Amino acid sequence: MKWHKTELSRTGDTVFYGEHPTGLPIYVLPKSGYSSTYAVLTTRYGSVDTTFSTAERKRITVPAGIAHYLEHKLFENEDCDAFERYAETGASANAYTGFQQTAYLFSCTDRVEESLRILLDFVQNPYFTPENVQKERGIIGQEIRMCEDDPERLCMFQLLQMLYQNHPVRVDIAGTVDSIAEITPELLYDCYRTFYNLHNMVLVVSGNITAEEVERVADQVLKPAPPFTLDRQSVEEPETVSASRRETIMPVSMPLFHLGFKETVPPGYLHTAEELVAAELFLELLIGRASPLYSRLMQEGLINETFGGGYFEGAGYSALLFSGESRDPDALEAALVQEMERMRREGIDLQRFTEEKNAMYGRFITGLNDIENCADWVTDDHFYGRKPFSLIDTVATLEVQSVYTFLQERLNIHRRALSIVKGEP
Amino acid sequence: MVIRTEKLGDGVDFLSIRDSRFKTARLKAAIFLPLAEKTAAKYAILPDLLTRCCALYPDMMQFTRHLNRLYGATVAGGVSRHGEHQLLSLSVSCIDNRFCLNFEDVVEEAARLLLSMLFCPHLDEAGLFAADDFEQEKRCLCERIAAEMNEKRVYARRQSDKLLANGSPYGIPVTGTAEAAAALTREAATAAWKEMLKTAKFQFVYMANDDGERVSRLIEDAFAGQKRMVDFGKTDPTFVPLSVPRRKTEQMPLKQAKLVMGFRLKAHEPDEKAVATGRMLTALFGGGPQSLLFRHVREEMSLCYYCHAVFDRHNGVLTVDSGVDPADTARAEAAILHQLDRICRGDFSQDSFDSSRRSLIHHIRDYENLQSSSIGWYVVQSLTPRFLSPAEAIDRLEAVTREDVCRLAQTVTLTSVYTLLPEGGDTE
Repeated sequence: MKWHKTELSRTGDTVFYGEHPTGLPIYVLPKSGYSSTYAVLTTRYGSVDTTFSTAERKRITVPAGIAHYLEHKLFENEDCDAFERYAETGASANAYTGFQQTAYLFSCTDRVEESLRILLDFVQNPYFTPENVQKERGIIGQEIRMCEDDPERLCMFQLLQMLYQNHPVRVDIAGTVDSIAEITPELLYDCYRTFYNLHNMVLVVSGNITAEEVERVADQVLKPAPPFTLDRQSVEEPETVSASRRETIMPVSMPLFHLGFKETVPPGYLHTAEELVAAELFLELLIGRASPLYSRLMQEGLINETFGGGYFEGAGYSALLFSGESRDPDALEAALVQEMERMRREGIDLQRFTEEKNAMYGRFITGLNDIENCADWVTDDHFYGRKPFSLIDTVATLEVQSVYTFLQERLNIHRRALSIVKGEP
Repeated sequence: MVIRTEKLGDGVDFLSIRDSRFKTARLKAAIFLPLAEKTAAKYAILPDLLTRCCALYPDMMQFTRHLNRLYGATVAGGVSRHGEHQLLSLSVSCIDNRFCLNFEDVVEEAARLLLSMLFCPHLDEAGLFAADDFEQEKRCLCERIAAEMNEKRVYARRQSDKLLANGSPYGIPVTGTAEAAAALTREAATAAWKEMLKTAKFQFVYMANDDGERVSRLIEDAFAGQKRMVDFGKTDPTFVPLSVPRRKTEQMPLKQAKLVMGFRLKAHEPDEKAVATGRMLTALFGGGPQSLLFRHVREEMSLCYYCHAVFDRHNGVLTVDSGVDPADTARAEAAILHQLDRICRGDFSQDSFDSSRRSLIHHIRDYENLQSSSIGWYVVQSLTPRFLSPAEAIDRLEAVTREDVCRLAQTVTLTSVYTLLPEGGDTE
């Protein structure tokens, strides 16, 4: 296995990259002086992958929540479960499913190679039976019930259902109690064989570890993967939103809101680093604590400390989102739109642009302290086709023109929706 | 890693951790005050008021722009419970000078800023917190208190704490009550700030790639003009004995029931051996995937997605919380008590015991890999007679035996059972 070494000129951090003969791309980020090691094995498979051709070229549509269900079930192998094996090494293990990815991870301070062996082994050895699939339904059913009682999550998905008419990002990652009732061992195997191909995955290990140690374990445990081709269904998503406002009543003390501005993105398109950073900088200029709008909204009592925004994006979808608690979400929506229009007319304060760039640069440097953050960051970089940590250079060299382009060309003020969850009147 | 402690004044202590691994410097002021019903809200508003601006940068916009110029330095304020104390915290974090693009000294400037926030807040001509700042932060505090009900797991835990406290300070909300927050005045908040500077115990913890000497001198100078009369109350928890567990059930329009069980146990700070045993007991009982609650209540019985135990070592309290189907609350309660009973009888495998210890040791070692958790490690020991290093804490854990855990489990008393049910179910 050939390793390519890269050193970050701004910080001196080192990244090793190599493709294992079995097909798995591997990154290693040794961090001198750290006692912990963190490893994350991720497949490019998430809740949005609902219709696809399987490894056996069979076209199927799967029940909502199956990627998450598969994540739960993968921990159970034929002879014992992965948690029992990790208990022997003292590692702390977990997994999560997102819209586009499913990740399996652990951190440990001892017996690193054994823990890495467990990770690579259990993810390659699924064991689904009618009995163990049935047993998990009770646990995941309670996880879904917990989510259904979460007003924040409900508000978010209520918004996505208005913003997106066809794209599966509109469906809750965990599915519903009814949808998971349709999941069978056969369907889980179909999904597993399709997406858990090492060519469709990436391993990132950071902290107290060397590339040689990782390679040694990979050689012992990884099995060659067949060639990978995947036909994901492209979703035709209309440019418009399906509704502009929706309210739900729940036991909450004051209204929660999610407000989204939908961007038009070609099917499967992933934003460039420059586009991502420009959108994030625009958000800081618009609603950061240094913005005039933030101070005004606080003074008018329309927001509190829960207010924030983010750039929500993935393959074939993106939107500018705002969320928090507000006694009057409609007035807040009007104020945000008015400020966006003002910025379009009057332009961007160049001094503030430079200050926000400085701040974002500092936040990226700070992020390098944390080995878990580093590994997750490199995982994203890999799936987006970026060089590891190249966002640091992107922000350091970004011109204000990129933010103008976002504001004038990408942001559509009219394609928006407001989701509200409030208490009984 | 080099650790240095220094006494900078009456009730003012400084601890610096020199560590070159990190790309940032961080300074935290941990401020300890007795937790009391009549003062909780007055103190709780202070971290918000002090971290939004200061006399030098007298509005949020100017203040934040200054932080942005310091390469996105961040300030944070918080309030939490620490035994029977209210712990206010102010912290600042910034990139290390070696990463500045134009060779600025942001580390010293960030430390100065934290002291400005603490000693020179934005006051009006009458010497009171400025009206706009105060009204906004008071509204935010009131909204935060009211919003506790939005997160049902947090809400249920709070209700359980009140039930368990049975009148002791453990039940006092650290933010104060909704009524006390609504009644706050600028005069009261300003007086509370002055009282805090005079009477609170201050523990500063600094972690960076230097020896902390410059920062400790800045802090010493800042306190030089202060007349201090430290009074930070008692450190032993108050126990109000109960003959039977207190029970309470509430209903809300929900899908899932929340079950929270509160236990008292004879283990609390500053008894190092008892605390280590309490940690082992909690890890074995419900502290993670290796625990009995996870293995049996979640995995074998499929009763819940989470069933977790946490140990409050300052109060000698162990809490188990779970989200279950409404029809299963009695089964879940019985299953949780059954697992505790197994520990009392020593009915657990050596593997479970060893893996619980390994899990705890990993978590303690892992503390040292983040600045915030390293600093937190020492902050929570500010009121104990001495600082225990992570290595010493691991030694204490290594010394805990199965018999120690069984003996401690036998002292565990179920004190409260709080259940939050979907509307339409039976309540007691």
